Amino acid sequence: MDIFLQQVVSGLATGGIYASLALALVMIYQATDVVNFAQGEMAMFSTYLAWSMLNAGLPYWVAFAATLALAFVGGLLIERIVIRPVENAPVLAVVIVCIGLLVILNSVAGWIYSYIQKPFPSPFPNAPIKLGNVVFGAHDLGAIGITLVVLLFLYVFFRYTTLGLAMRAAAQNPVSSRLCGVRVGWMLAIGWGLAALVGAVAGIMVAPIVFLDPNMMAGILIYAFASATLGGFTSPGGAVVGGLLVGVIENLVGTYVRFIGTELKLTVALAIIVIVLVVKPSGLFGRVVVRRV
Amino acid sequence: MPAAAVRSPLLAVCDVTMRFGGIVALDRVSFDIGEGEIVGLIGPNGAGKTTLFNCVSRLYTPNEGAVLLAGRSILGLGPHRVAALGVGRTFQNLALFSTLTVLQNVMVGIHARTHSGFLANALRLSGVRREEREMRDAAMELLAFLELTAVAHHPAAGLPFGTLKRVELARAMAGQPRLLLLDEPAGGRRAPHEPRHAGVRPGRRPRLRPQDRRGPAGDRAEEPRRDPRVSRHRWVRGLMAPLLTASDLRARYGWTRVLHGVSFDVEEGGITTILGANGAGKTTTLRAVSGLVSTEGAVHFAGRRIDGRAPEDLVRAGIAHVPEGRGTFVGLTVEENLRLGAYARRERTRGADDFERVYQYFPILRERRRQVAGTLSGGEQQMLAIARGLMLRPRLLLLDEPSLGLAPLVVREIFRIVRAVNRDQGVSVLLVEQNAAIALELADHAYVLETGRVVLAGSPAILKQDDAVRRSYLGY
Repeated sequence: MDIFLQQVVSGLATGGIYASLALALVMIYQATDVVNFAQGEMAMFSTYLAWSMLNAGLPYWVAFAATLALAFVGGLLIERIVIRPVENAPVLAVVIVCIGLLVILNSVAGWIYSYIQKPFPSPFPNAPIKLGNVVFGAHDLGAIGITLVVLLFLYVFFRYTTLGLAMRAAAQNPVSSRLCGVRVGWMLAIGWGLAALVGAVAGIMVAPIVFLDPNMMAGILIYAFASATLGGFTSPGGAVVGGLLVGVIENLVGTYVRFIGTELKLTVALAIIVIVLVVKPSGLFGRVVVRRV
Repeated sequence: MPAAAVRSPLLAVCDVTMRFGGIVALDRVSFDIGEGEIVGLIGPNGAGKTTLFNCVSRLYTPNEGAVLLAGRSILGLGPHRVAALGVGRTFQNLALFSTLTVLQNVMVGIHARTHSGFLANALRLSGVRREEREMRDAAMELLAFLELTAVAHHPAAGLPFGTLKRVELARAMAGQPRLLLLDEPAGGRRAPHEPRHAGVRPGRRPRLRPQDRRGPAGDRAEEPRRDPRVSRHRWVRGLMAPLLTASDLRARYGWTRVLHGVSFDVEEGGITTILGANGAGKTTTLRAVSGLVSTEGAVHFAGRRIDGRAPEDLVRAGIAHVPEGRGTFVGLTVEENLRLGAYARRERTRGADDFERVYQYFPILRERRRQVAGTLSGGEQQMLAIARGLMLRPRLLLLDEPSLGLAPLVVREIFRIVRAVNRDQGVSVLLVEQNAAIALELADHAYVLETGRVVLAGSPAILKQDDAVRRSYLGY
């Protein structure tokens, strides 16, 4: 039972990271109908920026905040400069652009920082935290906390602020939004910025676990795809729930199913994608849009 | 039992109840339709007509009750199976494939009764090719019947609403249905005696040719001139610059010219209406004013030249455009829709009193303010669209066919509110309408548009007496 609880909590910690990245994917998909394959590499690059700042001697939380700000601006610029020109191009063209972006970010990171794995510090104490008989990793609990704060921030932003409302409107009905005075292009750019920011948080939280290297997000991105598919690509809340579920399932299957262990964990993500697409393609929470016709 | 089977009606709706959350849209509705019968389903907006159609065509599953087609329950079947059983339908607000051509849209309708399977299609066996040829011929025949041959290879997107309504009818008929469900087939159409293809074939449009009138169809045809009020009107106009002046607007979609030099004025504080048939260019004219389509020619608003500026900027200048088809944010709540209406306002004082002001005109929206806009009835959505425009506190309100697809009573109500808003708030209105009778009742000044040209202009009182207008637009 103790082991079970431990594995659930550590699953929630990685699940929170998948959830953040999945949410970033869904946010961009909802706004622009683009599946951003470069999301993981954008997060990886942000994490390297954080690493540089930490190396330069900045305090952890200052580097953290500065990284989020840079990630936001970076995401915004990528949308304006790289995505905007192919806005009306066929889906395939946009996918290729995203994959190109993935390769470029990956190579540039390797060129600047080399492909050697680097340790990345966690802001949380090393000593495990004991609750009763159960021992939890402090980083796990911290990562869960940070993820929840980010999600709460996004929820409040989209639900209660005028800018958030305008962004939802722009994603839903661009023409009507323009007629309300909403600058749709900027809303999409801000959406990319926010997605990059959320991705950066995921990168910084996962780096102490997987170590920092240019390919560190490849596996995570697949988990994020599994999460978004499970929760439903049309539902931000679903992506979060899907992420947490995938994290927990992955951990429990790795622990209790002997032959899977840690080697075959990634297969679980792929199995989840395939099963969801066969059984319920819209995902757990993906709404089949009800509309008067 | 066989005797009973013979007598069972084609469609039997028994005690159908449909609830959306707490809202009861249908409350134990029952009726029968016999084979070969025509049954009219009448009711104001929000009565549940479309919901009932959605239940029968299986887009919705009713909470209670039964729907029998030829004695057999269809509630367990998917919408595509119901279509294959011979139930065709059209949609109130159109559900065509906009990137397909008219012909392809109709061929999709025939597809429900084709037999060749997926594999045969993938291999393009000869039977499949023959079937497709037959489908194409059958579709062309239908298009000819509905006088749509001229637009057969035109993409559905960009055709006028009334024409598309007919395309949808053709698609529904293509399935050779035993039961045809028509949702507001007259919505967006002109009076029945008028040429059916007014928007399609320029050769046979309503008789409003230049030679019918005195003098050439000028840009600002102030005809008829006999009434002294017209000249007084012109004199007043000379003193006060109009709020909006459009001169020589020309616009095209792709290679199709839609506006050939349209000019008109909108007086400050007045209601101006632009009348015309489907495809006359009314919607394009409004879109040109609000910056959604680029035009040649000039538009001046409050003394400033505004053509070529983006819609987002024009909203900030005080022009609220309520677009064709309402443009509701269906996934957002009523209140969020209204908040978006005030988005472009500079002063951040907008708040409770703005909502209060709008709810005063549209009390139903207050009741529904937490409801998702997509679940509102057609009439309520139109009210929401106008209310959203008013949240801007605009100087000029552009209304694109607010009567579209709505019951006469609801249309009266909406026009009453538009008049009240115009009077109380001093909002100038530019109204585009097909329903000429009610628009002329409301307006202070009217223009008649025909295939992208202004062919008549004047005060409504006089236009109503003009024989040509009466014949072509008023139907008496």
